[in-house]
Amino acid sequence: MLKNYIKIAIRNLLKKKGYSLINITGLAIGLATCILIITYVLNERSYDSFHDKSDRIYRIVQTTESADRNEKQATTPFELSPVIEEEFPGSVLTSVRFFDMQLESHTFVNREDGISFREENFYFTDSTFFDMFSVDLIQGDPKTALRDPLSLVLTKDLATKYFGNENPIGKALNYRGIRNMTVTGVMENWPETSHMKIDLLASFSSLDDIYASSPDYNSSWLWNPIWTYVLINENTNPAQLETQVQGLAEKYYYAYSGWPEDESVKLELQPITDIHLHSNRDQEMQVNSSAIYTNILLAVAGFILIIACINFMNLSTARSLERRREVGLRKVMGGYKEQLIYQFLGESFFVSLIAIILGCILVVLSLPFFNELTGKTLTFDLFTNAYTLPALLALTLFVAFFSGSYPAFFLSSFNPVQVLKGSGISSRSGVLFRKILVTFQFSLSVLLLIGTAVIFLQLKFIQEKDLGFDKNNVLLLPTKQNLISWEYDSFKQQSLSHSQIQNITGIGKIPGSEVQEYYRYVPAGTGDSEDNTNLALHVTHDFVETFDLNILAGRSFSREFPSDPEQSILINESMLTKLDVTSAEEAIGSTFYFYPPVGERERFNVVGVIDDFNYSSLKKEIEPLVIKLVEGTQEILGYVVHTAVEISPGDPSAAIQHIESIWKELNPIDPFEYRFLDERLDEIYESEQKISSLATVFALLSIVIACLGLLGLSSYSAHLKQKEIGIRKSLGASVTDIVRLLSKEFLILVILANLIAWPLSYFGTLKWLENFPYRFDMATYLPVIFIATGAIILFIAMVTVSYHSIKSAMINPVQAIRNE
Amino acid sequence: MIETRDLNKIYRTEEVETTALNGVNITINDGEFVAVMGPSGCGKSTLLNIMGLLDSPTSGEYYFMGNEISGYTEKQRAQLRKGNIGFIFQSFNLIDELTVFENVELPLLYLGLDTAVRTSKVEQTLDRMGMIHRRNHFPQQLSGGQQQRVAIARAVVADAKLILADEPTGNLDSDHGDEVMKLLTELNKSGTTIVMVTHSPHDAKYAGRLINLFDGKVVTEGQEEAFHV
Repeated sequence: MLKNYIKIAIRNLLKKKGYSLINITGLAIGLATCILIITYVLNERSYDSFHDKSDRIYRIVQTTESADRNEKQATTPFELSPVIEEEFPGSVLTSVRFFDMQLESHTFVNREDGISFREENFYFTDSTFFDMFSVDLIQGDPKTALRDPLSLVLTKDLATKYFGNENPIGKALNYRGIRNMTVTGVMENWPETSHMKIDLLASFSSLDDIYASSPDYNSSWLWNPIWTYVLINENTNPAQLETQVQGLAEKYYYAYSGWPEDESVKLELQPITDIHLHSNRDQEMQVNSSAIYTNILLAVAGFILIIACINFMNLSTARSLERRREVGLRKVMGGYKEQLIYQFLGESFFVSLIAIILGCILVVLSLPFFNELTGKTLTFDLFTNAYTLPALLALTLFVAFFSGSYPAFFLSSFNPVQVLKGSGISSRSGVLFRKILVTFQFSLSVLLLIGTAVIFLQLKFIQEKDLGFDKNNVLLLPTKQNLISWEYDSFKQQSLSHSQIQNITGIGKIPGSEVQEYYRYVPAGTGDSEDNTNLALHVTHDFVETFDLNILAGRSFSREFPSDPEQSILINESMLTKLDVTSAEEAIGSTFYFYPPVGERERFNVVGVIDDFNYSSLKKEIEPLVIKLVEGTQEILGYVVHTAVEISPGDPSAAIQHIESIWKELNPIDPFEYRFLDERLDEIYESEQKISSLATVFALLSIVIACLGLLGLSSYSAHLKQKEIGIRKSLGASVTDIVRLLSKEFLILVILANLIAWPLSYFGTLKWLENFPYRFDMATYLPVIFIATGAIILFIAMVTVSYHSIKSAMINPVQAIRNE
Repeated sequence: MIETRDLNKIYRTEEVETTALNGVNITINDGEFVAVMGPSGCGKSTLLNIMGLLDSPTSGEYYFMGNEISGYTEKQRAQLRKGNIGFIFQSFNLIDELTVFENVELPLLYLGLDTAVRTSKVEQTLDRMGMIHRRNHFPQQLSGGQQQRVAIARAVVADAKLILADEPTGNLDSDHGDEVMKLLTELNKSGTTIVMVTHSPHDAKYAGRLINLFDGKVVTEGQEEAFHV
């Protein structure tokens, strides 16, 4: 019997090659998309689970709260880790700290060979690192590798980069021109599926050596530059431990002298496996992804699969007319209804199986492209993972059942008496259901297309939004505490000698991207106290000029006023609300106090008010801001992290060469590296960019699949209406009349689909845009998007349908009538 | 074999009520060859469908091989139908995607017989119908007469006790039609009960008894040896 079913199934597929092709191709594309997305999402969800003890590793994070702000940070003070180990010896087995000196990159030099590089993925870490994290040490002893001061462990790739084929153990690398570090271990490359990126690790004990001149460097509870991880006991309840850890706030944070009275700290435990998708704090080690995006993608995968399954359902029920005789006969011969249901479900499984095999081939073919799109190195292999094959089988069964059950029940319920007489089942049967399905399919497509358009517009808006400063033609050089800082004025003067170089300024944080820091600058009068803080930007001369900031009142910092570094500040427009003034002019001369950690408060006067600009990313709103001038080597060493160079528009290469030659002369240690500010700012929206390009691809695919279905269905409908067409033509209908007749029913469905999708996408859009304080002008653009997507889909559908409509309208009426 | 008592069948749609059978009382004994005649719409096919357990009467009693089946479920009727009743249709109703052999084999599949048994039965039957040389052909490759012979083979392959034929020669020319009628007569002689609906007085003469239906009622019934050619 099974053989008979398979025979019938294959022969039916071959008999109607066109339909089979549409059915199987649509399903295969849908399944391939699904597999790709699921592979991607599983990869995203697998982050940091490669550690053997990943279920017991937690990161401790802190949130500081006061009346007017709430800062969620990924980092904690130095002392938290030893304190936790000491306070909870039963629950916390060990802890590991990471510290990057708050630098974006670090210079390492192999003095022997004169090779030097800037390394971004370098951390000082505790000797317990290898107890907690699962990475193999190829050379060296995990117990001692990170024990002694100035020990260095590098990955395999880095070892080759610095030492070639030589054995690196015992060799020295010079760290930023300040210390020589000795290689004590070589480890496997750090897996990509981690929220951390690690290339080099130095022993935490090195810090005692580096900070020898300020031995209490690690004692502050106000300074929190450390990522702290704990490994908890198997029997420890993390929620309970979290409550206990919270108790440390009182005992250590609040007890620390200088802790602001109105500020509270909340300490939380984050499972390490949750960080990549669920943590978006300030000072994350890397930009994390977001569960919102993996969920959106999963929904898209579901949509596309449903659209493909609907094609299957529609075409099978439409074609059922051709198999009604078979159904009738099988029943006459004593076949039960259930047997017929099984038969048709089996056929559906068979088709799904072919589709999934094709789909897997498509996945393999498209994976390189998909990897480029997502920036991942995903692989698809049926056999390396024990779950892959069962999962694919489950997917096949799902598709087979989902898309095959309606046709199976529909077909098996035919009355044999009627179908064998060739009457009874009219071509109208199942039509309403097919119409509902087509409408649903196109609603999903419209939804995807609108979603894509919204993401695209919002990204474009963000990229083109006036940030209040000029991000173009600005070069960023990393100059924190390197030799350039010591020769700052000389570097600046020599650089400016090139005609293309217009302005140079030193900055603490990159405008438009980084989280700025709060300092105790407080306007005089209104309850000023050392507990109040405001955002403050530390800059050298020519900051306003380099970024073309708009001065609303007063003046910029100027060398003509030698007292500026000690007495003057600039404020932004938002700060006016904190002052008792009505205009920017009135704010000039207002007094601010700065409360240093030790010593007397310092007095500053406002000399200029700057138009608001987005000092942080567009994901944050603008807050009141103080801009403080720094001058002199000590202050520059303390505050300046980057140097921004404004170059006149045009080819920048000559100017860059000029700066490079000066750099090399003044700083023989650090390699010359630079970035353009606008490119650096684009990186902030990397996950949005990725989702945007993925969404575009998938939205287009969904339309292709839906149209494939429409193509099949319209051809079928035209076929069924041959007799009607013949009669109408013999009565004088023109080709246009016939095309209109055949196209109308589908086009109405597509219009209906648009009407259904619009409100849904409107609310979806609102929900997504909640993540952005700055949004594109929805009132203007949403109606345009809606109408444009509607028109595009309608047009595509029309072209699809008219192919068969025109074909059948051209048929000789005599032939059409006879065919029926 | 068959006995009906006061059999009624009424079709209802939203607007009209059509009486297809009106108090039909028929008895058909084992081994009979009965022809049912009457004008279009007189209820011939309805009667045949009810006899073949494809449809159930609105009221009245129907005894098939001693079982009163008017209360049977669809599944029970299918169970009884399997192997007991063979059907022959005017339009042959062969499955286009199956070969001659596979078409004939189909009823045996639903009986759950072994491959070897099936093969030998199908081959025997095809041989009897003179179609063994066409076993691997598809229905479209055969003439109408040949297709109907395959359909007859399919009806008898499971050793059905009753064959119901609905205008078996309706789509055939007279030569092929006679061929089919001869086959049916042979089957009847070897013991199979046959009930045939026909428009053709010529075909009806092959039957041993004639039942005339008019407006859902039996009007004449007779053991008409005289009809025989």
